[in-house]
Amino acid sequence: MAANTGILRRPLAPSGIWAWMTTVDHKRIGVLYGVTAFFFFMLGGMEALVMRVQLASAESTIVSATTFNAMFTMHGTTMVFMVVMPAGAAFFNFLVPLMIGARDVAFPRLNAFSYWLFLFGALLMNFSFFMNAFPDMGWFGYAPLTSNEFTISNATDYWVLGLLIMGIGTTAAGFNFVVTILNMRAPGMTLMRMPVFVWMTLVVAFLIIFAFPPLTIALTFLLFDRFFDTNFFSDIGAGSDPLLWQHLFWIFGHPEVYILILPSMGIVSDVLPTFTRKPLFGYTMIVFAGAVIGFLGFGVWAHHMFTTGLGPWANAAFAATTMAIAVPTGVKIFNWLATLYGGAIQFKTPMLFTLGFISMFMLGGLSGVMHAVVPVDSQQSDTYFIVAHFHYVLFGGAIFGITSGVYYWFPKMTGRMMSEPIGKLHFWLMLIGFNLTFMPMHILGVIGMPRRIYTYAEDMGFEPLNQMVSAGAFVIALSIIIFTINIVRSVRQGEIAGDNPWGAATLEWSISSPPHHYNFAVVPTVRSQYPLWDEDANVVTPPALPAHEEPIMPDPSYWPIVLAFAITMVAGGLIIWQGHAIAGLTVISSMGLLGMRSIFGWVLEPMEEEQRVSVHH
Amino acid sequence: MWAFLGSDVLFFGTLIATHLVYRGKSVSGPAEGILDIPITTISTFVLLMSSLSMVLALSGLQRGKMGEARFWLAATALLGSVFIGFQMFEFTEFAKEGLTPRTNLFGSTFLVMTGFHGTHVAVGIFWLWSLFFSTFNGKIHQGNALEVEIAGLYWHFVDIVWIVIFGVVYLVGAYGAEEHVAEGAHSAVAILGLG
Amino acid sequence: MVRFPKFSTPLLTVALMVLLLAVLSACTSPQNTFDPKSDAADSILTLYILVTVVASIVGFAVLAAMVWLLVKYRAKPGVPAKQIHGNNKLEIGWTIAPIVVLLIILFPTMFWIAGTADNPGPNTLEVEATGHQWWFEFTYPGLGPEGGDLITANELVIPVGRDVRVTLHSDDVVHSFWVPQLVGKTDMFPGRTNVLQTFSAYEVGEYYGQCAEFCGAAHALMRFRVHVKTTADFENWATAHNAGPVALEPGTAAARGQLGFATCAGCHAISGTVAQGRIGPDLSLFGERSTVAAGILDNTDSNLKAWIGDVRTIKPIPEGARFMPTFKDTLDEGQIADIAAYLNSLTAE
Repeated sequence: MAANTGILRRPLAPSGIWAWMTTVDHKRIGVLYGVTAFFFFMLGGMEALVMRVQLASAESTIVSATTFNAMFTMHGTTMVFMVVMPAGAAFFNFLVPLMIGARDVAFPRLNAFSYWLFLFGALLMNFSFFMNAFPDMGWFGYAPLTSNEFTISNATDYWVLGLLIMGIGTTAAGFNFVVTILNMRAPGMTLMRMPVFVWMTLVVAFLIIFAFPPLTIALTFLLFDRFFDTNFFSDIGAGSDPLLWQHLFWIFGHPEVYILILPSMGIVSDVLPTFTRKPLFGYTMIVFAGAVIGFLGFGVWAHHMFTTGLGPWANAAFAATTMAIAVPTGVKIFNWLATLYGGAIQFKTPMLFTLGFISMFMLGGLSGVMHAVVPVDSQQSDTYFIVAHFHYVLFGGAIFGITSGVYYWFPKMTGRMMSEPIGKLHFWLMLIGFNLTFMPMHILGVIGMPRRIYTYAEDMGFEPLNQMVSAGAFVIALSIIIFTINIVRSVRQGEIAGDNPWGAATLEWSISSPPHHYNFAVVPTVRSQYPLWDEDANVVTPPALPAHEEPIMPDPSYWPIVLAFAITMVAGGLIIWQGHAIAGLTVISSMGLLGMRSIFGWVLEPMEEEQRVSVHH
Repeated sequence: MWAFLGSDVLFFGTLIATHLVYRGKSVSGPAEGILDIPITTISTFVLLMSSLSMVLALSGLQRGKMGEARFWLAATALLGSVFIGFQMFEFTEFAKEGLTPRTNLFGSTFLVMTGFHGTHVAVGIFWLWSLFFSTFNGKIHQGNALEVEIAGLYWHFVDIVWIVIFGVVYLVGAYGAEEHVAEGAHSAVAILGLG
Repeated sequence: MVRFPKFSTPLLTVALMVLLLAVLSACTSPQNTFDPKSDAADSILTLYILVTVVASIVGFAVLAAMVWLLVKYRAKPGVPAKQIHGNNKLEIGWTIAPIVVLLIILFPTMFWIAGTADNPGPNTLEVEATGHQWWFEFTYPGLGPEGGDLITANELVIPVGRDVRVTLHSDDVVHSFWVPQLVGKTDMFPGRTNVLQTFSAYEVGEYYGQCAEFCGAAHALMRFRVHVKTTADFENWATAHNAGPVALEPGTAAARGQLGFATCAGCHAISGTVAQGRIGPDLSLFGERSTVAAGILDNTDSNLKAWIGDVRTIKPIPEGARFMPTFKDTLDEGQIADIAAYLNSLTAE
């Protein structure tokens, strides 16, 4: 008898929109994250193209200052929080249970909840566009520009609330993956036999749970300043210190960039062995270096503040720690290159993107080391040199890595191969477009072009290079169109993949493509880092189990999406309250009640229903 | 729960750090002088006792003694409520003396920090009552004592956070603002440029 | 099986040469950090070149190694991959080597930081720079009339060859003071005072600067100039600044403008006159300035008139922001032209 803890019956159907809205299956949640991230990638990309069109000529008037400022604010916020992070989450979700031989994550409903919070938070923030309050204060929201005194519209409120909501989801996902990885590995899978991607997910999960609270607090302080007139950042006369915002933001912000890059480092560490046909060189060091990077990442934040006048001691200390973090990063790069040594390298598309990652990320890391030299940073900070640096590590690094992962695991997720020729075209166009766009930015920074400016004077000499940059941006756009064509085409008519089209070594390739909803018919016992390459590995994927023998999996639930919706609407109600107090309070209280009801419904609902036969696909 | 608590450590850590960074910087309005140490000592003791009752509740449940478990669960929730009562009294007194979150830096940081702590306690109380009622309909019993243990972890954490706040904010704040302890904190803060 | 495309190497080289040529041809700008004109900027450039060389060598070496490995170890039929798991000696080696390279850049960095500690000498010129949305205010303590402050805006005038120490502050949001050819940037905060690295300019000339911290809608149009003059010219400038305008011939546009300036005196000041408003930029010796509107327009008659008439067609001022009002509806063209003539008559002669 289904235990209904809500008004509606518990959903049990396997397909259709309702099934997707109530899924707690990590594979489906992974797909949801991935598709949503891709959509926002297009949106963020268009925001970038608007900027590039404007900056292609000096003293251009194609867009207004406010529009441009909103573009760079939202491009940054979108790419960081709505693209790279959820793309990482897409991979964590789909792959981690498969790679450790588990049937799902530790907290499946919490997992769904994290996704819905991400989606609703992102929608709330972007909804501001239709309310003529698109955030335009920079993705880093420096005080006191964000206070009521200097930003009159609601733009900052949408930004703060959207981020807070997405942050709750992310933090919850952090808890989920720590517990999943530590507690749910298959027998024999010791920590040192996990694929590097799983290790990186573990480090990222810890980074999330320790780095997001300072951001949450900073955003809460800003929210209270704007809504309730408190004095955290906004009242200089009362002693508020705008530098406090910067410290709190960057204490979050620096670990955040490691949250963005470590998943890609995990991806390439698992792609390389497959396409060199040999084990990863220095597995232990790569894992250890990843953990060290995560740890040291909390000790470098003030290198974002070298020009704020912290004083010589702080500057010297953070310069040293920033240079120190280059060491484990270099160690990883050398180990990846050493994996190529003696290999039998196959230049399939996933491998091309992985090679792109290694080379482009390395260049970005080098420009980062340049910034660590405090005096040099006083000339580079807030110029296009910095923009060049972080795009080399975030696009050349994270995006190339994620793309490699997409090409690599697409066959596992969909059962079909992506097109190799189209993939290669995508790679070369993207590599060329990327370098054409971001390499000249180093020069622009050197010759003195600042960041976050919607136009520049004709006599500055910035125009020729800006034209090159803008041209490159359109080449990137073209490559993304080709990528999209590849995805759409391959989903429909790609060559059937089989279980292990790449001849890879890790557990996810031992089951069908796509996997059954219960993942493993029999939980495997693991004896090495490369289970499918073991000499006695007798990998025959068992046929699908008959329905009555299927393992019992957690049933879908609507509480996660309902609670996520309630939380988002409370935030929306706060914004409404600013303009219309009664309406706002009504929304807040009714949605608050819905939220409380959802928590009860969720807690009291059993993981799976008793006395029923599974009707899943 | 441990992962959540790790995260919460940073949450409260940031709140406490912000309060300390702004210590002594309020331009006008009441500051540490407004704190009533004797009263807060009593409420702190009450909260500490609630951790003891929590342990007793768990122990009772693990031994299958439902009566004990229920009694001590209720006691914990009640002691927690007494603590909240003291907090509300304290905040209303402060408001009468002119300290609100809008007044000055001390008001903003102190009240938001203790406000979040109080909210954590309130959530805990809610949770405890839910567990209490669940012992009557068979949802909580000796076999799933882990549920209560997890609630206990949360409750003890909230207690420990309060001990830190009481020590660092109340005691050092009221008695030690001029002492070298606070000065040490100030130089650390000055190094970070927040001077 | 895919062949490693052999055509790409020559193609790539050609592409790189084209890029390099394009880049070199675009390598000049009045804000070029690689064209230092002061001791401070020069000391920074030394380190800049050091790290650029080190980074380029490392980058090139690693890329070359990667290409070599890819060519040498591409899959060949019948040649299996070597099953190597790792090599401790290499790990130690490539941990130590980067540390050594980093020390090569760490030590000069530390010495530079120690060497540029704030230590004003007796002959250092002190200037206070205050950032506003969206203009720069410069105050010279002690150089003003009767030993008070000399206050000017948007164009900083300093003597060549003398140490200048600029303290930085902001009246509203965070700004940043940056004149690349003279000194690295430091941010301007409300509620705290920062100090720029002390610098001494090598050559007389005019240098370009720009606000380098996003400060709101018109951030891109918040720029300034630094005029480095000979010591004698600097002193003449300061004297003329304090002395105020010479008597104007009645009936000229400038004289009419001086009367009309009463409209502006609520916010603007001109030394030696009754106009002493401190809300907007000080306009003394305006005729000596090369630019209008915080470094964004050349100081021509038509630009100045356009600015006075309607600042909002030139800078994107948000609704409700505190900034100069629009005057085209309250003053007629003749009045605006007179005020412009008056301002540009304020020269050092």
